[in-house]
Amino acid sequence: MTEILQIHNLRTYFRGEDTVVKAVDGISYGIEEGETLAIVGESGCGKSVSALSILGLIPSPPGWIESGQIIFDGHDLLTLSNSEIRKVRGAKIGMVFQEPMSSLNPVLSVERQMTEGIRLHLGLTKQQARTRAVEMLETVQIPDADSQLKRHPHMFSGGMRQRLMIAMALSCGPQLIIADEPTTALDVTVQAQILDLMKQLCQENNVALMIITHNLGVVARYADRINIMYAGKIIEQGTAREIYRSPKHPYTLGLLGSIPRLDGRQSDKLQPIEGQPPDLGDLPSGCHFNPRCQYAIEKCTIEYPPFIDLDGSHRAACWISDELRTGAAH
Amino acid sequence: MRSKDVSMSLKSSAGNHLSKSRKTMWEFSKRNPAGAVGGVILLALIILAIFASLLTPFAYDKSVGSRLAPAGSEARAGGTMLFGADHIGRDLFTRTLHGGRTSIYVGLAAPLLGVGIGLLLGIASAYLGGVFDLITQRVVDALLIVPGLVLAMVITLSFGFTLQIVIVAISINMIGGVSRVIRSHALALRETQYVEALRAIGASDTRIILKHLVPNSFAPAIVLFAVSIGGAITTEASLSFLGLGVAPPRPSWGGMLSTAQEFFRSGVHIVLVPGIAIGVMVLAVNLFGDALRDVLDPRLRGRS
Amino acid sequence: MSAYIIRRLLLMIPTIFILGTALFFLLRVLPGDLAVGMLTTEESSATAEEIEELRESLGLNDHILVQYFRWLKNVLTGNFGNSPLYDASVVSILKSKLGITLELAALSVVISLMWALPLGIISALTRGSWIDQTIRVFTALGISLPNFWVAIMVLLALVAFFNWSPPIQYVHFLDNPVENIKMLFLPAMVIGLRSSATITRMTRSMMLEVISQDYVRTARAKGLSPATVILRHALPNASLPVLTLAALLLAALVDGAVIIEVIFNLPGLGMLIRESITRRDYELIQGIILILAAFMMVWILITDLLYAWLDPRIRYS
Repeated sequence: MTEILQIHNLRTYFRGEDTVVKAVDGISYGIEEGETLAIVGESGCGKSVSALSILGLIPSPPGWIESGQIIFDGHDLLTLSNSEIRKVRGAKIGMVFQEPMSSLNPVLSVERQMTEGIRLHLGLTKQQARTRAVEMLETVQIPDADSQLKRHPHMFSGGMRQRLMIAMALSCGPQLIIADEPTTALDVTVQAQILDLMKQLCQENNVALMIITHNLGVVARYADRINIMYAGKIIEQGTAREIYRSPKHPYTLGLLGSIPRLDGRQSDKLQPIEGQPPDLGDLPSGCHFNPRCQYAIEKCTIEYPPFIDLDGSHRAACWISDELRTGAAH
Repeated sequence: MRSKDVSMSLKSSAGNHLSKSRKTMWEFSKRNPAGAVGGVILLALIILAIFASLLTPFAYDKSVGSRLAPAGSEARAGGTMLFGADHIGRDLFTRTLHGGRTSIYVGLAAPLLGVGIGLLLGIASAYLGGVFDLITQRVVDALLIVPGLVLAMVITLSFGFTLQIVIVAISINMIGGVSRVIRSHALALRETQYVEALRAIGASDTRIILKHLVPNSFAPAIVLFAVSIGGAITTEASLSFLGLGVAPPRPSWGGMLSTAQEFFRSGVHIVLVPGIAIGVMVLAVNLFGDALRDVLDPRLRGRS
Repeated sequence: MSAYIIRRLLLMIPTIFILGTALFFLLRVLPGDLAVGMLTTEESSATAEEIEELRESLGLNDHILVQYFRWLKNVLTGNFGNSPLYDASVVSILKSKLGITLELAALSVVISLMWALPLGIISALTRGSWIDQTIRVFTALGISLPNFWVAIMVLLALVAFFNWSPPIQYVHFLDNPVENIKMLFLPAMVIGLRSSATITRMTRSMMLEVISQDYVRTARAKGLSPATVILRHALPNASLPVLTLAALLLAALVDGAVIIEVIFNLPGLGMLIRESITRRDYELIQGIILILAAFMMVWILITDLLYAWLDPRIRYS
C-alpha cells in the first residue's frame, strides 16, 4: 500500500492579540491510497486547521504555516506556487466542508458551480461538463438530476446540499477527499446516509478519504485508521480496531467513555472528561492534557511525552501508556 | 463561553461609573482613531463657533479693510485679517466663524428635530399599526419621493428665509428616512420573545412602548442622528448657495461661496476658505458618525 | 407577483395625492399675489385693472377650494397647467429640458460605476494597506466636500491653467458627439461625486463581508483562479445590495443637477427647477415636482422588482 499523502512536522500558527496561537504544533501522519483516515478531536484542537493547511487555505493574515512538509504526488505542497497549488485543489484533492447551508454560492446555479471545476481541471466543453455533472449527481443519488442543475442551492435541503458538495469534490477524479466535519451540521438521521455514501463512493473509485470530526462514535464504522488530536498535537494513532479495543492515551479513554454504547449496560454512567480544553495561546507545560488527566504523574507536568510505540501501527504520546497497556494504572 | 471571558466581563461591569466613561472614551479612540480625530475637530469647531464674537475684534457685517485684501493683511483700523477680506472689505475670518455658527446650529438642530419626530412616528406606527400606520406610511412615502434639496427649497420659498424655517425644511426630509428605519426596528422588537414575555405578564401597551421600545430604539436613533449631521450642513450650504437659505447679512458659508464666484479672479482665498470650511466640518462629522455607528450598531454598516 | 405589483401601484395613488395636495396649499401660503408678480417686471408695472383682469383669467378670485378642485381635475386629465414664465404647458417645457439632464444622469452613472466599483473591490482586497487608506481618504472627501465647491474649483482650475472658457451654446449629442461629451463629462463627474463615494464605500464593506463567507472558501478549494473567485463568486453577492441605494442615488442626482447645471451653464431640468423656484412660477414648480415624484415612485418599484429578480433566493421563492 503506497502512501499518497505524507505530512511531516506541520506547524501552523495564528497571530492573536498579544500572543501566537499554535493551532497545529508539529504533527506527522500519512494516508494510504484508498484508505479512510479519521482525525478526531474536540473543537479547537487544530484538526480543521491541519486539513486547511494541506491545500493552503489558511486565511493569511492572521495565520501562517511555520514549518513542515506536505508530500503529495511527489511534491511538497508547501513549496508550490499559487498557480501550482490551484492545479491540485479540486483536481487531485477535493474538499467537503462542514456547513452545507453556507458553503455553496447562493446566486450561482448548481450547474455553474458543478461544471466550473470540471471545465477548469478536465478541459471539457460546456456540454461535456454538463453531462459529467449529471452523472455525478446521479452517483450521489440526487433524483431527477438533469432538471436539478438549473436550480439554486437554497432550494435544496442540508443533506442534499452536502451530496452536491460531495459530487463537486469527486467530479474531477481526485486521489483524496478531505471532509471537514461533513455531518456535524446535519440531522442525525441524515448523517449516516451521507457517511455511507462517502465511504461507498470512495471505495468504488479508490479515493482516499480523510474524515475530520469531533465525534469518535461516528467514525467507528468507517475509518481504517484514526489520529486523535489534542491541543495542536496528535496524541494517539492507530487502526480503528486498535483504538477502539485498547485505547492507550487517557484522553482517548475519556472520549470513548463519554460515548453511549449500544452494547453497554443501561446502568453504565457516561464519563465526561473533567475541565476545559486549554487556551492554545497559553498552553500548560509538559503534556497539554495533564491538567485534566486522572493518571497524570509529575513527569507529565514537566516534559512533553514523545510517541511510544505500542502494538502494530498503534502509538500514543503518553508517559504512562505502558502502564495502561498492562492495565496497571486502572 | 470560556471562563476567562466570563470573569473579564464581570470585572468591567463592576467598574466605577466615572472612570468607566473615561475608559470608554479612551478605548473608543484606540479602536477608532479616525472617529476620535473627527470628534475632536468637531468639538473644536463647536467651541470656535460658540465663542466666535470673542475671537475676533471685527464685526461680520461691516467693511473693515480694503476689498479682497489677501490673507494676513492689515485692517484699516488696525488688527490682522487672518484670512483676508471679501469683496466688500469684510474680514473673512470673522465671517467664516459666524458662518460656522449657522452651519453648526442648523447641522445639529435639523437632525435633532428630524430624528426626534421620526423616532416618535416610527415607534407609533410600529406599535399602533392599522389605519394610523397606513396613513403615516403614505405621508412618509410622499416625503421620500421628493429630492431633499428641492423639497427644502420649496419650503423656504413658501415660509420665509429664516434660520428656523431652514432648520424645519431640512429636518422634514430626514423624518421620512428615520421613521422608516425606526419603524422596522420597532416591528422587529415587537416580535421578540422579550416583548412577548412582557405581554404575557400583563404589561400594558403604553408601558411597553415607553419603558421598553423607546429606550431600545435610542441606539439606532443616535446613530441616525450622527450620520445625518453632515448632510444637514451640506444642504444648508446648498440652500444658501442658491440664495434660498438664511438671509443676509447673517453669513453662511454657502452664501459666501455664491458671491465669491464673481470675484475669484482677484482673490482665490474667498473661494477656498468657505469651501474648505464646509469640507472640514462635514468630514469631521462623518468620521465621528461612522465610528459611532461601528460601535453602536455594526449591522448598519454597509448602508449609506 | 402581479398581485404584488398591483398592490404597490395602488399604494402609490394616495401618496401622490397627499403630495400634490400638500404642494398646492404650500405654495399658496405665501402672501403676495401671483398676478402682481407676473405683471410686475423690472421694466414696467401694471395698473389695477390689468392686475384684476389677469386675476380673473387665472381664476385667482375663486375660493381656494374651488381652485383646488379645478387643479385636481386638470391633473387627473394630464393637464399640469401652464407656466406663466415660459408661456407654455408644464409638460412641454419639461420635455424640452429633460434631454440634457437625462444625458448627464446616464453619463454620471456610467462614470461612477466605472471607477466606484473597482475602487471598492481593490480597497477591500488590499484592506489595511496604503492603497486602501488612500481610497478611503478619497471617499471620505468625496462625501464631505460640497459638490458645488468642487465644481467651482474645477472650473477655476480649467480657466486658470488651461485657458478654457465655458461653452456658450449647448451642443446636442446627435449633432456633435465629441463636443457633447466634452461638455458634459466634468459636470457629470461632479454631480456623481458623492454617490460614487457612497457606492465605493458600500462595495468595500460588502466585499469584506462576502470574502470571508464559506462559499468563497469552497470556490478557492476547487482551485479556481483568484480572478474567478472575486469576479464570479464574490462580486455578484457583494454588489447586489448596492441596488438598494438606487432611489437615494436618483434623488442625489436631481439635487446635484439643480446646483451644478447652472455652474456649468447647462439648460437642463436642474436649471429649470432652480429657475422656477427662484422666480416663483408656482404652476411650474408644482407640476415638475409632482411629475418627478411620480417618476421616482415608479423607479423605486422597478429597482425593488429588479433586486427581487436578480437574487435567486427571492426570485424562486
